[in-house]
Amino acid sequence: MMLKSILLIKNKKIFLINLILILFIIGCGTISTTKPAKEVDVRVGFNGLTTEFLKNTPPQKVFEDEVFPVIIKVRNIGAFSLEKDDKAIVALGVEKDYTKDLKLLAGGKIEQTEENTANFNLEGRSNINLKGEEEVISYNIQAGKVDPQSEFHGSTVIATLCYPYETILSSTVCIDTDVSNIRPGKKACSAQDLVLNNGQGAPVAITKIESSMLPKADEKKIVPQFLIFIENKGSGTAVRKDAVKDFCTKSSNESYQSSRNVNVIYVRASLSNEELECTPKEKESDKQGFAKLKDKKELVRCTSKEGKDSSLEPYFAPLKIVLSYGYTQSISANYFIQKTAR
Amino acid sequence: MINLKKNIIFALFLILLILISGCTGKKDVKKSLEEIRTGTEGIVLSFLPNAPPATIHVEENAENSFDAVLELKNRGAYPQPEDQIGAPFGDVYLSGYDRNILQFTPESFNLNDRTLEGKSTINPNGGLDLATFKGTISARNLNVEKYEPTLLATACYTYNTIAGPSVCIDPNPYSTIKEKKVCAVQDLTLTNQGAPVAVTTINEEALATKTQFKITIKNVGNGDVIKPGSLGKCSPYGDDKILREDIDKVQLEEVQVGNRRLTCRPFVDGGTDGVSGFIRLVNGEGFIICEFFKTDYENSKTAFTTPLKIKFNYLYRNTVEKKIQLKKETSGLSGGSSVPSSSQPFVGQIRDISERD
Repeated sequence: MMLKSILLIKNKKIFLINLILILFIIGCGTISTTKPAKEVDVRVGFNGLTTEFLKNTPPQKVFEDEVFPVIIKVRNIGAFSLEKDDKAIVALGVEKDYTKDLKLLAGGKIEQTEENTANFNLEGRSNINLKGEEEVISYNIQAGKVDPQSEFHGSTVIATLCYPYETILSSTVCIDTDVSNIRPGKKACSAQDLVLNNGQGAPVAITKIESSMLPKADEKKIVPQFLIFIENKGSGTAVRKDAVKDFCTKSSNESYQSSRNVNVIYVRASLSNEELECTPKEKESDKQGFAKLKDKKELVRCTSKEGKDSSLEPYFAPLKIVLSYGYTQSISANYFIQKTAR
Repeated sequence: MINLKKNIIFALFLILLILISGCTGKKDVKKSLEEIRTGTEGIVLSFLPNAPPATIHVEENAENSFDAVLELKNRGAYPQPEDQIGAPFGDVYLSGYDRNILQFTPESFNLNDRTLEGKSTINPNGGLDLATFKGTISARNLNVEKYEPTLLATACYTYNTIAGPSVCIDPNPYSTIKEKKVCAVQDLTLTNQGAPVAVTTINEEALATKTQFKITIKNVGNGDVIKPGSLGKCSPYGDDKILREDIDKVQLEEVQVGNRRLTCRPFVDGGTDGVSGFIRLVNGEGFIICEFFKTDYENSKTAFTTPLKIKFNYLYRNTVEKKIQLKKETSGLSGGSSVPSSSQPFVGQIRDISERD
């Protein structure tokens, strides 16, 4: 009898423990752990297009008259898409004396313009394509003869990439209509400098914007002015946008590659829906500002022509800056041409 | 026997339960006016959650609109039912955004149309109302991918502070005869009076010919005190702006002992009758000295307590802000243009496909 009652109590305890356990498990199951999708800012970094030779192309060692592949992978990991007439150009440079033949394998998006140049569009990073587009350009090279006195010859292949590009900065700036802080009370914002350390997804970056609100007392207006600091943060050279094609398709000795076309950036800026006046300009009649980089850096001043009503309270306005330029960069790879046994 | 015991335990448990539930249900909800006149706030603003949304996606060729809804609460004790106004006079505005891109309808709300009565014995929580600003985005003028303005909501309104502490009036402060007095002249420290400007201390001094009160007031809220009569200057869009000299000024309406109005000083801006005028706050604090002459209480032979009624009015301005993000949709995937409109029936599209086939 005693044993029976002990067993009954034990059973009850087990039942209770089980019940609590089941409740816990059910409770756990209802907790949802959905995280909101993380927003990626594509306009960061200092890269535009990147190039690399695929592994073992060119091979380390080739034989005389051998046809071997040279494959270049080009990726657009910047935030500007090369579309329509904006095309990247890849030119392959080889030692002519030691190369019998060079053939671009065109097809798909790749167009051939000259013997060794490939033209193509390449989509950049965007919210729907976070990685950017990539393209593979294949060449077949037939190795030439090694000098009679040599057993092998070390040669180099150079791939030069030229492309037009744009750096676009969209920011929100404060139009501080009360710069001297005369008006009492809380302001929505105060004019302050923007330091931009992360780049805008392009090799030429806007690194800093200094904002100043110039008083125009007679008209009850303030004139927003922005000093835009530009820097080439990439490994290549900025060139004039119109001269992009020339830098990859003609010999480097010619005049189009003169210093006049190197380090040239055009600047356009708008505040709200007003186009700002950017100086210096290349020509007086130009609408856009002009920067000639020195030691990879320069600054441009953009000013509102109309000014803003100073009787308004300070407010935030969108500022858009577009830098237009061409960009060129090169990579190289070495290989040996081995004399074949005769 | 066991069943009987169980029944008794169950009955006891039931009675206990009823008793416990009975205890919590009865509470005196009626508060005295003294209890009502507490707190340091007047009109309190807050944006309702998701109104405006933190991120708004802007599409070309689509109606891009959203609501910004402000919750307005009157946490102070003005106006009272006897003031016969439903809400303090004033306005609430939205600012801080580019009007080329964002437009709000209306740009401001009149507070006096709202149900924002102060806390009172019949409404101990104070009035509550909502103000809805309809925001419209001009996608064409938004030429950037992301625009992040901070919306600043500003309420600018008239408010009153009333304090009525009991003070001791001693007609013979220098009496050499030892006698028992009902009260002694002493300084008073007050906390707050259900308004953003509060009387914080009353330093009382009994002299042979008068009793003097130094009344210290303080801005205890988190906004700005503005000179009454400057309501028209509060708008962020008007030409007339609030100037430095309009700030930190409170109007003393009256200080009364019984039905006798006391003469006070110093007032700023001159032109006063000695009874009411403007008091300047320095670092949020100001004072006034009021005198109660012996001629008004010479009939009393012994000390007595009496209420000292102090009434101020002023404009008060407080703000609340919310950062929003307008994201321009550049992809055609989410654009309205890719979706067939109702005027283009699907039947037509099916026919097109079949024709192509």
